[in-house]
Amino acid sequence: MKKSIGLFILFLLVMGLIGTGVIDAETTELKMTIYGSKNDIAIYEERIVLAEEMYPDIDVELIYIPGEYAQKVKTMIAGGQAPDIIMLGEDVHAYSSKGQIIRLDEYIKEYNVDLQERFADSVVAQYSYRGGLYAMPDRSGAMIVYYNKDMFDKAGVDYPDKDWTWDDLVEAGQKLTIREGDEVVQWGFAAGDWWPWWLSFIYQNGGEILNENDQPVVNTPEVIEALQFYNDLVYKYRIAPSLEDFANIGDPGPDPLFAQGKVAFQITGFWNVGSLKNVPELNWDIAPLWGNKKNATVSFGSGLGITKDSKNQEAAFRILEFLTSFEGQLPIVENRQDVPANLELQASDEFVNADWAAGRDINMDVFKESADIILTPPLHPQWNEIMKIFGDNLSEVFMNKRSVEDAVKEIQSRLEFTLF
Amino acid sequence: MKVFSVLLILIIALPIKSPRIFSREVLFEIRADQVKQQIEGFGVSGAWWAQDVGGWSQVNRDRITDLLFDQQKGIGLTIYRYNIGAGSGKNIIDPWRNTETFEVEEGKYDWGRDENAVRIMKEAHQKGVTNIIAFVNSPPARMTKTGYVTGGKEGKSNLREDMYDDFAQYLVDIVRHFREDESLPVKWISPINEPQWNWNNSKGQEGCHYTTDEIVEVIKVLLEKIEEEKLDVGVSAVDAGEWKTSYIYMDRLFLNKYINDRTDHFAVHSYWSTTRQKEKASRYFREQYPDKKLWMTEWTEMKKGVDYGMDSGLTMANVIHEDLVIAGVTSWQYWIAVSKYNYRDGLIYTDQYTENIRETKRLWILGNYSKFIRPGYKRIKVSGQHNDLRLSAYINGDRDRLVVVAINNSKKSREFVLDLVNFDGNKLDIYRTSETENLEHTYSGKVIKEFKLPARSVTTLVLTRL
Repeated sequence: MKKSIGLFILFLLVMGLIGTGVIDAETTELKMTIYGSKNDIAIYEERIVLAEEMYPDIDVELIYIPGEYAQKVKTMIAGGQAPDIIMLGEDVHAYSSKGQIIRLDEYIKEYNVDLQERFADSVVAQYSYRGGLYAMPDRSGAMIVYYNKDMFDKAGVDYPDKDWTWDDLVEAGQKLTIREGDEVVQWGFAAGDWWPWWLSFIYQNGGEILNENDQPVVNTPEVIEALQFYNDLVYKYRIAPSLEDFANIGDPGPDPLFAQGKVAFQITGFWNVGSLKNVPELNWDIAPLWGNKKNATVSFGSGLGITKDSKNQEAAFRILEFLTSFEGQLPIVENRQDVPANLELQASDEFVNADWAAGRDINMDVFKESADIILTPPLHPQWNEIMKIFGDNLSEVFMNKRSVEDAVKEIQSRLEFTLF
Repeated sequence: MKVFSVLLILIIALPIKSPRIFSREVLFEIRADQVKQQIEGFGVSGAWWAQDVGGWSQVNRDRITDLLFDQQKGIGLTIYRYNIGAGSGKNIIDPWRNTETFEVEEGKYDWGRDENAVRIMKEAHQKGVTNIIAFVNSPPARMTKTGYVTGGKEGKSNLREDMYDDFAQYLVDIVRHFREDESLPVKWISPINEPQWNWNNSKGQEGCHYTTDEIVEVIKVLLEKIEEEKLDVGVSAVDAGEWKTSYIYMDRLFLNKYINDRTDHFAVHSYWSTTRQKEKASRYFREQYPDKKLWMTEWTEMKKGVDYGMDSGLTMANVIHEDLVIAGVTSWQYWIAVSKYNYRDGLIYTDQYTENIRETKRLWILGNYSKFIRPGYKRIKVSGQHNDLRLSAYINGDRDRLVVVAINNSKKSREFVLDLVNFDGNKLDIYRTSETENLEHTYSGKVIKEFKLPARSVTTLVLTRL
């Protein structure tokens, strides 16, 4: 569609029939910045073509930024070259808090978008700031449990489910960890120092890192107990590899370790469904995350926001509305890219019964089941700084060289210093 | 117009001689009495290029070795890393990454092999190299489990359990030959390289993974062999691939008393490492093992594309600065000196099957350090902060020469004032690398205190007490 319009315009220009001013008057041109892999670009292009078919008066130019995305977008904004639409991740509120992207609430009302029907509340909450929604959720997949069915069957352990508690996790992990002499030949569980892992455990224990007033609440019994439990999986129960164990097996992450059939269960995102497709001999399925005081998991995804400097905000919203609709999100599913944020699509045959795993019967309902346990991480404007403070202090805990209490105390005081 | 241009050049290229008021004065204080680590030297690896360049014509070979190792004609590197090749075989496609092994069979060697690389090592020594580290990426094929030198299967170590003694003997035999027959100053053997990675055929280069237990065993057996054979060399370990996980290896090596008693440093690579990771790991190391030193033994910017200019040059300058000042390393060793790759590696580029020589800013910026901060110099304290400027300072053993290296990362020129405490030099020389200069001697005269650094430049100030 886009191409044919372009060719037609080119034809008219060549024929000297029109001046460029005429085109400007009829077509609204929007710029949209995206990040991701080359495969992702093609899928965005496909969706944009659909949007342009819906709105022939709007022409969207995709700007793909392969590296240092946030920095480059900020430079574009500062240099008066702000795109109209920007793709956003966990740093959404670095933009919303500065007023660089607009509240979408009025457009949502005007265009009758039923947010509750369209998206999970937890995902909407992630893109909300001080009572307003600043980005339309686009892609959103919860972190889920992947488990090796053969290993569970062999050990006589029930498959993981939402009802699992931390006790169940340890018990299963111990039964599923197999040693030959000193060497572990099969690990029960595998994780590491990445924030979605430990943050889920904190929330499962009723802890959080910032309260509703954005004050740090890290030095609490709930957080300390959760981090201690998480570290105990490695150093006390010995059911998950330590950093040294990972180094000793050639430094694969938990994902490759699971694919190699060396770990019984792990937590990771939707992307692993696609990767595991290439391992036909592995008999696996997925489940929602367990809980302790409650269930909790992190969702990964992206949203789409409109810049304050955009001269065509309404046209931009029409595009966002379409891109987050069932039809606008369908290419995400058809191309096996990700979990769509649109709930109707998540529950549809197109998603649930798609051949995700080469004929393997995977319980795709897990993503929908997980929607109501997705925790809302405090996507504070200083999210990146907050995560750095955690990372700096927890790394020594995860190497078993520092006590949780000591690290948590320092995190609390550094957050207090940084955020106020 | 002409007069104006000359004036302009003077302003940019020379320190500011006349007293003037700075709009925002930036002050750096250098305390010659507050001494940090003693520098052992700067170096480069001979891997992947020496076996090719060593076969070049004498004139072009000389040009390369002069640029790298001659203190007058080049940047005066004093450390050379010779790669004891495993004899790669057919599964390494790139001819530069293919090596020859000296070993013909157990205990039998052909010292005529790898002659090009050995020639470069000898010429490097003649031009100024005083310390050679013989390093290994993989044991030769006969000692490996897979029969290949590119690694094992599924992350297992590729060195056979029954070959630890053979491996140690092989290393000792080769190094003894270099030392005794060739009079080469090989002072360390590094038997293991980046043990944490899952070395396998797909990497296209020699490599061998080791677990921590295996590392301790390899090092221990090698140290015992060195002692038994009365060879005067040390072991350099463990060439960890990054700072983040280096704790694992520091502890495993130095908590072993036998290794601790016989090893004076820990060797780590700066690839993939953040400032914070370096700061944390080095602080931990100094607290735990205060009598041991840290070496940075491999780094190049891991980025595709050829770059001759200040972009990659400044990236390197900042890594050197961090490693010396934040991590406190006593030795800084670059990865390949000569590159034919479409990559930001090499200090000099060439083209395969030619003797082309193209210098980079990386070469000259490394020279900003290596040519002036000589072995035995000690780093001294610099106080003062500026967003765009990074300064480090060093003093010689006689305390009559003080070297300051100043990086200006800004796209604009930057000014600063230097306050020297406990050092009264009376001569100043300035050497600069920038878009237009290659370690150029831009000033020689009396000592001044106010400086203007051109945009994106690295400047070395040499203060001498005559």
